[in-house]
Amino acid sequence: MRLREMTANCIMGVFKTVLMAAKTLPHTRKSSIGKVDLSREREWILQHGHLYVGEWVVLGDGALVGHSADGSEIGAMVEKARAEGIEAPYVKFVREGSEPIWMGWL
Amino acid sequence: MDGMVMSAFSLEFSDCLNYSRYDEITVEIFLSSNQETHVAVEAKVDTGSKFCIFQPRYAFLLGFDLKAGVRETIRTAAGHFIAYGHEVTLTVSDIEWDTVVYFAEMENFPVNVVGRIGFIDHLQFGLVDYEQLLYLGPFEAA
Repeated sequence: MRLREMTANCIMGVFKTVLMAAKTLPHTRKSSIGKVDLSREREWILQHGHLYVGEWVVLGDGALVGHSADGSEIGAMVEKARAEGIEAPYVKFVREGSEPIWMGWL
Repeated sequence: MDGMVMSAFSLEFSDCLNYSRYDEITVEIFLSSNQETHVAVEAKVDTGSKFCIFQPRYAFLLGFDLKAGVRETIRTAAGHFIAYGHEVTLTVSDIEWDTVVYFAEMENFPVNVVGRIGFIDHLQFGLVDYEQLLYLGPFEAA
């Protein structure tokens, strides 16, 4: 039994190696903008999000830059944040907490 | 227990993300279309999704002409929708890579999702949901 499983594992190993060789290896690198940490933005949403349900909010460094129910106005707010030195403005559409449960698999 | 073979496997991860402040398994990412244009986004991790799909507003914020991207029809459990693929740099933790992600055509698309192609396929990925911990590291060939 042990020999049979070892043989099977060996064959699977060869099979995996062949498959891996046929696929393109993914290339990753160290972030050029630093580590992603949106903990302050998340905290802001948990504290204040209920005031902005149905709106887009733009945050930078954990503070509100702007908000609007009209998504077309968000671009100007993001540009404002960038002009203030916020490299990666946080943008989120705030939904009501009582919405149906998300089930995934799109 | 006779005849049972126990195998031990181990993986190493460069980071561990705690998603306890979110309702679902969520990652915080940056999307960028060039070195100057970044946007910070929360996305739900969906291992059943083939692609990464984002709300269309982010395509506009990244300077893309949405419908100039690669058009795909995405099938779901509840129907289907159209999305357009664009090349971005995606950053999670302190790892980044260039990939194609999709932006839904539907203006009120409700969610941002990272799936297999473009996200999970670039990483080693471990999940301990009881502790709400997601272990991540760049993929390394064995």
